[in-house]
Amino acid sequence: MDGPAHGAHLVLLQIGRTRVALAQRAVRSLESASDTDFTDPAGAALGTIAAAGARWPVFALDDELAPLNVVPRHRRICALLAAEGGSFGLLCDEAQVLPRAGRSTYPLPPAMRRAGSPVDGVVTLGSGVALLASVRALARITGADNWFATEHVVESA
Amino acid sequence: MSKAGAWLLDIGDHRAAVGVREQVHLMHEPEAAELAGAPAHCRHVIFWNGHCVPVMDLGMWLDPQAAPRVAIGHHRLGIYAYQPNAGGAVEFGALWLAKPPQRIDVDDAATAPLPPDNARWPEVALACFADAAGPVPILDLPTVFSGALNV
Repeated sequence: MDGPAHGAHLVLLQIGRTRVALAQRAVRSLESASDTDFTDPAGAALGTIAAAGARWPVFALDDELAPLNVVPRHRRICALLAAEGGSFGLLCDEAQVLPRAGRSTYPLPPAMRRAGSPVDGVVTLGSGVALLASVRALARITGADNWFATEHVVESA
Repeated sequence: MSKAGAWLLDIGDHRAAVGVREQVHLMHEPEAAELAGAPAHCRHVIFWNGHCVPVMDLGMWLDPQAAPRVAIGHHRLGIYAYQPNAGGAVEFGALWLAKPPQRIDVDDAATAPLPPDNARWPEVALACFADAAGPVPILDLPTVFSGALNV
């Protein structure tokens, strides 16, 4: 389980105006977005990135956490996330590791839940809030799940 | 003839009422945080007494084309207590308000049909009474904050 309520640290991803918090162990590495190959998009992926001896799909979300089908070139970081079927990249503007201790987390109120949303809850930060999400849910909404089911992971040179 | 206490709420282009004991707090210019990906009628939360409280724009849910209450600049809300299940824990939800709530007494004889101008009232109203200005639906708060309005 990669639930963000567990673990000593959170990784905060800035995605446009939105901040998404993930459990640190759900983030395999932080790569430069410039290392993404956007010349050969596969399936719903915008491109691929090489890491740990293979090429992984890269996706992007908008401010409302809906999948983007155009590459947001201004995003500088590709967070490589550890899903059940493999890894996938999520383009973001900034990434920051924060201690989990001392931060209040809350489940998302039922009135705010939407079918298909990757948001599980809310964490308070010093300045505002971040949305708690799971990699499993992000893999579902980006299409990474389908990518793993239908595409062959290519070993990188 | 018996009477019951209630709060009359102005939620913009509509009026509604809640039981006198359901309203637990009022806030003016609250520090509400907007959450991405949330429904248009429930975009904000406030943190109050250790709770993450959703703030509902019920006027926008009734009239989806209406401008969000936050955008209009009426930054006033009421916090309401409700029980999702009989005997269960009390939970809290908030409503954006256009004006301060008004304390009223409702006579049993004032029962009235729901306002005919909006087909969504039956989904969120327990009952309705009428005053001099017309019908006033009484809100079913467990339903309002249950997530049932998100579909």
